[in-house]
Amino acid sequence: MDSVSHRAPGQAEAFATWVGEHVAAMARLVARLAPELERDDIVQESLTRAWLKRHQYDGRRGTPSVWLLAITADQVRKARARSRPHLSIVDDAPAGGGTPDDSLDLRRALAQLSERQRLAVDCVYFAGLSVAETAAVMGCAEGTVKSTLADARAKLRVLLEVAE
Amino acid sequence: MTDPIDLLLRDAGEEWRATQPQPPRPDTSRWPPARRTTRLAPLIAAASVVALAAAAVVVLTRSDGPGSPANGSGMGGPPNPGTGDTTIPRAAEGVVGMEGLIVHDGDLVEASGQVETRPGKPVLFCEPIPVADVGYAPGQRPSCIGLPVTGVDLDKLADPAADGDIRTGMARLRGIWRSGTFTVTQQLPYVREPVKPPVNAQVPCATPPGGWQPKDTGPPLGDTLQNYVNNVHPDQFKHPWTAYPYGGPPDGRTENWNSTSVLVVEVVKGDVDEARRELEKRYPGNLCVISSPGQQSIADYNKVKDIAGQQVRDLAMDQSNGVYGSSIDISTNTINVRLKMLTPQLYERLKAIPGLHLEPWFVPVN
Repeated sequence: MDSVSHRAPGQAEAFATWVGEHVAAMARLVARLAPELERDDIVQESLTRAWLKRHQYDGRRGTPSVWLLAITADQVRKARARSRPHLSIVDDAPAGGGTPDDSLDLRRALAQLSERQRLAVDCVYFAGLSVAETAAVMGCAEGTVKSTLADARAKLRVLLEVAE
Repeated sequence: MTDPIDLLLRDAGEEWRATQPQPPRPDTSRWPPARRTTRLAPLIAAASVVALAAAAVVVLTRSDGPGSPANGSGMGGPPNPGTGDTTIPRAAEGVVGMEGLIVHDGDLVEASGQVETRPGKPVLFCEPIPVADVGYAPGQRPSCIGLPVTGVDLDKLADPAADGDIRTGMARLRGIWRSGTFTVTQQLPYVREPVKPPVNAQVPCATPPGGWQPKDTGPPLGDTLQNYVNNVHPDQFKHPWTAYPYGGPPDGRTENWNSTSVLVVEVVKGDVDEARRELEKRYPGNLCVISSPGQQSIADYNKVKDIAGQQVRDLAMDQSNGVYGSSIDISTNTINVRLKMLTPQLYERLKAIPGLHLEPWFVPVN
């Protein structure tokens, strides 16, 4: 659904449908931010949290996806704090992209980014979030996301020795 | 100049996403129940014909057969005001049909919806938009968003309910629309939204020997299949949909996830047998692949969503336009737009957008 209502639905069925199109992005975000956690549990916790806070949603202040992803990111932070608070967000899953050697190189390079740079790259390139959604997750302005991404790409360019 | 790092990351991200397992469905059993003291007309109509967005898993049910036009309004559609007066246009498609829905200042108009009364407050005719009504003490929930009205006979409201001193009920009202106010001149019998028959779309394939597999034997829509039809060959397929060979969802709106289901994929272009072979490699569950040449493809849907859908969303961002929401009918790629009323100003902006189906709350009485 391309919902453009300014309010979140008040009925559970309607709310479930309203969030339905965003669950995939929420799941991807959890998988990137906290691969060590049970992805689906975090997603369900986030959806429950959103249900409880649905009266706070105001479509004039942001899209449903931005709102839901911000809640999801917050739930990830809480869950990680409960479990292993100092885990890095580097995952062990194959990053893909070209040959296996390329993937390995990319993973190693990503691991050398700062946490904020890695977070921006994870959100935009892997979880597939928009810049606005990523800004909500990172708690910063969209311009900051763009500059962080530019910094990340510049660092990766050096790490991977890619000619411009 | 193309940044090779950007391309590398995009490729890596796309590959990673393709490996991700199916996201979970919202588990509403975890949610505290909403406290309801009023009857809100259903805001979901025919989930069978609604796109759940390209980025999400698209699992759809249908109440009609393949290749036939989808029924009714889309997800998030407004309460149906009823069909008591057939001379009143309820919706329109295309510019010509739209014109009949335009409300001018001073017009006689009609709408159906909830009426809310509170001691010492004006009676409100609530706009058909969802409101949160959970978590409040009895009689403390906030007012609906609505128009102050006079002349409503509260004893004639349908489905009356009370929450403390708050009284509500449903009404069908006629009156004059002038300068942003609605003056009631007539209260007609309220017509309840017809209950939709249970969704039980026939599987357009023969039952395999031994019958279809139980629902819980596999994911409802494999990630690889989703990626294949949505991203690799969107021009060859319609959005996959779900059929229930042994009985489906109980009320046509929610899916009974315990029902045995069959994923139906319609091939709109190319060789259906080859497509079936490719899809069977990517989906282990019940699968029915049929040929539907000439039907709207996922690529067609994406074009509508990206261009016309965005134009509607842009309009909705300006509250003064009174656009409540929109959805896209995946069978026809029609954009259903729910709105307060079609003003001449809004008409001028909407008429340039193709493929709209308008569902205004207020309609002119001819």
